[in-house]
Amino acid sequence: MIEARLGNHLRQWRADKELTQAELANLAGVSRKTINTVENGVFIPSVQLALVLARALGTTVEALFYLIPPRAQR
Amino acid sequence: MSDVRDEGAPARRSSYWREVGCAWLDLALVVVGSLALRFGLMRFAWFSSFHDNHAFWAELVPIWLVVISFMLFVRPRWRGAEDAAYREDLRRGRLKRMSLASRSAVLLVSLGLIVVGSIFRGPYQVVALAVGVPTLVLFALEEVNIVLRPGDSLVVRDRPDELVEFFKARSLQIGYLVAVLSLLCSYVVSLAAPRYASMLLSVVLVVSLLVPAHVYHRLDRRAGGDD
Repeated sequence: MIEARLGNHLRQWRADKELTQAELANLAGVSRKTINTVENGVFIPSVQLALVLARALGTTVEALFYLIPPRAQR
Repeated sequence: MSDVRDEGAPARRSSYWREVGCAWLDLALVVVGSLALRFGLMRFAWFSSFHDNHAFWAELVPIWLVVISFMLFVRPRWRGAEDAAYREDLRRGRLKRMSLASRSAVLLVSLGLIVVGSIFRGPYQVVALAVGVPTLVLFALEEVNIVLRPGDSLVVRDRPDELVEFFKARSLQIGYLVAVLSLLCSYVVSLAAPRYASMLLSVVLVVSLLVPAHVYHRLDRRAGGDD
């Protein structure tokens, strides 16, 4: 089983692009709650949604999401 | 104190009282229609014998026949404009769904009526069941509809993205578990006390509806923080 957790820089990228959660949600075609839960690490998006978010922010999935190794979680 | 007057207030008050008057008129028509149908049917031997054997259903069937006919055939012609305005209010988000707390209260009251009607024999048994059973069935259907098609309004649904699908899957998963466990408990209880079996099924239904509804509500609230 994968022990690493998924982290993301979605909030920073969104702030850099001067977008609100609602604006990014509209660009990605999802609800604002989805953006909020992904940013807070409550919800892990599918590969499809990750690609859509990366495209909406003009970046790559690797730049948005990263794995937090198990040691760093403690 | 502000001396600014609310110009629309008298019109709103008048519209409110007109609505109240129409609602009472609807109710009166349904009651009169149900009584007329019930006493009309009692003249037939087959209905009288049905009434002797199944008093509860014989009282309930005329009421529901009249209510359904009224809603399908009479009301749309008579109050089409009001219904269209109501749907428009729902679409624009001016009217909201009943809150979870209110729906839970209605479900628990109808469950209470069914329990009272199942346990205590007497003149009020039929009334308690006649009110409790249809209310529970209607709210059960509404509760299932809310979990399957979530949203603040009856018309405008939440955007069907993967978060909503995740919430629905989680709620239904927990609801399924609760339903299986409560059915198992009611089965064990019914082995010891079979007369409570039908009453326990109502409890199972209410618990299986309320738990996933609360789970969905909690997940949705947690996701709703603003930026």
